[in-house]
Amino acid sequence: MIQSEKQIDALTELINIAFGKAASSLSELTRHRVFLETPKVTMFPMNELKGSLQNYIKGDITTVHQIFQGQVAGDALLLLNYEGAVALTNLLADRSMNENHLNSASQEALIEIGNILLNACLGTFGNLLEVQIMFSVPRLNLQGLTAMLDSLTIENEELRFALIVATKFRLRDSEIIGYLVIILGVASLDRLLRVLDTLG
Amino acid sequence: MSTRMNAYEIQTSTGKMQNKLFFDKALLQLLETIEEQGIFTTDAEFKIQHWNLWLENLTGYPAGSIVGRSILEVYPDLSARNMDEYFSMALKGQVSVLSQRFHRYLIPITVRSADSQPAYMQQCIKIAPLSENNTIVGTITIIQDVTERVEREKALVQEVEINKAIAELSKMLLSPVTIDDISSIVMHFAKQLTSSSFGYIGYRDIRTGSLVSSSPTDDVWNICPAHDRNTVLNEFYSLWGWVLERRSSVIINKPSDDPRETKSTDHFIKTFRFLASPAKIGNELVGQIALANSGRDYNDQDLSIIERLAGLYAIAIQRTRMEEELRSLSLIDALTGLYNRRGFETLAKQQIKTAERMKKGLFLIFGDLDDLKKINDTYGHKAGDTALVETAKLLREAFRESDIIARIGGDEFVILGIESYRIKNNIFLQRLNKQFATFNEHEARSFLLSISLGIAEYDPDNPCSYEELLCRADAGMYDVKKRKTEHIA
Repeated sequence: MIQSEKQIDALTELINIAFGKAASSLSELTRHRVFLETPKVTMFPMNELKGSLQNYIKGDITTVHQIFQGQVAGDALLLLNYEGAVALTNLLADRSMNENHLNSASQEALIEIGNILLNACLGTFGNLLEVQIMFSVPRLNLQGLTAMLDSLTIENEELRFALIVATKFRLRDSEIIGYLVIILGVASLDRLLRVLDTLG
Repeated sequence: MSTRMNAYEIQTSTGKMQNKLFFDKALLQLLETIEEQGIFTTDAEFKIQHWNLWLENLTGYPAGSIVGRSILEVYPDLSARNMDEYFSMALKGQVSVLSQRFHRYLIPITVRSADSQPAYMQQCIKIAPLSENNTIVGTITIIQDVTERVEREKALVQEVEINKAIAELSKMLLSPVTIDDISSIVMHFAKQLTSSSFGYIGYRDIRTGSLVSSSPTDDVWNICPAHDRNTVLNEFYSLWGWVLERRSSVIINKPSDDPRETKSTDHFIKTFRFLASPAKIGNELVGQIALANSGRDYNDQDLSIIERLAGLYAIAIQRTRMEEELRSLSLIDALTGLYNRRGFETLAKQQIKTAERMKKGLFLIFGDLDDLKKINDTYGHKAGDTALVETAKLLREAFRESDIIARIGGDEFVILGIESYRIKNNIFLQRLNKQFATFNEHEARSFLLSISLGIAEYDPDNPCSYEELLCRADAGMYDVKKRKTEHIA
């Protein structure tokens, strides 16, 4: 399924709005200014996802994973490399000392951050599509990319597509690059694209 | 990862369909049996439907008294803290995770913390939609008590910070850092690690026996009028004295425990809490670290921190003392590389004894660099140092390697020649004068070098002591200098 430039543009704009919301709730929560750069949106068939993500993220990967269900269903992931995840939680912690690992408190904080970003993003989709989307409780995975992606595709019955939204977070002068990945089935993607076309 | 089961895990382990991850009413019976976390559900109007045993026990609200009431009404501060939003979001299908780091707690439950002070339970919260036949009918909230874990993590972080501080200090002890610098760094760490707002550190001066406060911290310094060092000392005088008398660490968290209450004097800094440890080498008291007014009570950990710091501080003091001792043992003048007074004395006495036995003559020249004070005052001490170094160089060039040349005081130089002065007559003085003249002529200096010399001769047939010889040369130099001044006047 090949998308038109127009569709991608509309999607980018949509996600941009969603992220604006995410950034404001994140900065409200952390009491720091949060900048999210304009997200870059790309789309891949599921089987090409791993290859393209490996280009983006090197080393250990930290994932916040939320499943969503409803008329549009799929998986939403916040991907950070491990160092980025540690840096992000260090920035948000009110203390001078920097840690080099994620302790339980940092892991929970990271789940909350992921939850905010994913909620903002998918919530906007839901509002736009005028369907109710239900979310699972987010989970944090500290495993390798392959293991994480395999866990998504075990019950893959229909052909799935991955929407990759690459963004840079900037907090307190530091730059952390994170990726939001939304994996949709063909039916859900169809619905999404149709709505985008009517908006265009 | 927590070993506790949470609702999420129960669901995935009981249901085979991985995608069905949402809470429904069928699960509630199972969830209510879980004793390790708080679980409550509400309907779409936020009226409490289920309130589990854990919550009953900890909040003091029996389920019977609370079911049917709105959670926002039972805990009005939820709305005040914008927590009601998360319940509204759950009705729209969104799940919220509220981590302890950003939210501390959802429902205020008082527990005892590690230092036995009552505190709010630290909570990790999940608020999710509750569904029935794929329709959202209310919300479910799961509260996990993470107080213990948070405290453990805090303790761990503090341990790491302490170790970092100790490691950094240990590293400094191996490098040439002055005692004042070490004092201020020890103080910095001591204040930071015990969250103290005031601190005071000092070491015992080995010559006078009194405590020297090397670096009152800025806050102490600023609070005392006119930045008067005496005031600063008085401010902590009784505290110092007390710990010094006891020769052991002190923790005071209540002013009424403070023995100084009885001999109270006017203090600028009101001391609420106080922590101090003496620094000792063996049984000898060499210094002290004192801290005051942390925002919380001082505890045993603070005490162990400050004692460890005091231990390192004692090593630093000891090292400084040894360095001073070594310096005093040195025979060489560090600035010019000539012998110092001590070196000269040792060698000269030996030479005089030899001369007496061998019946050989000696001469001693006492030189005083003219106008060093003026050079220092006019051009700064660096120029003064240069003048001394240049003079030393000229002296070395004018005399022979077998002569002993030394700087024995600020601007005082001495030369001991192993030969009868009369034989060589004025040859050294002539050579020296020429050297000075050449130097003053050629080098583009803002000041001129000149030296006044007095000469004393040692006659082996009529021996005298080193002191006498030095005294005669000094007197000779003084005459020359006096004549120079009169001449100018």
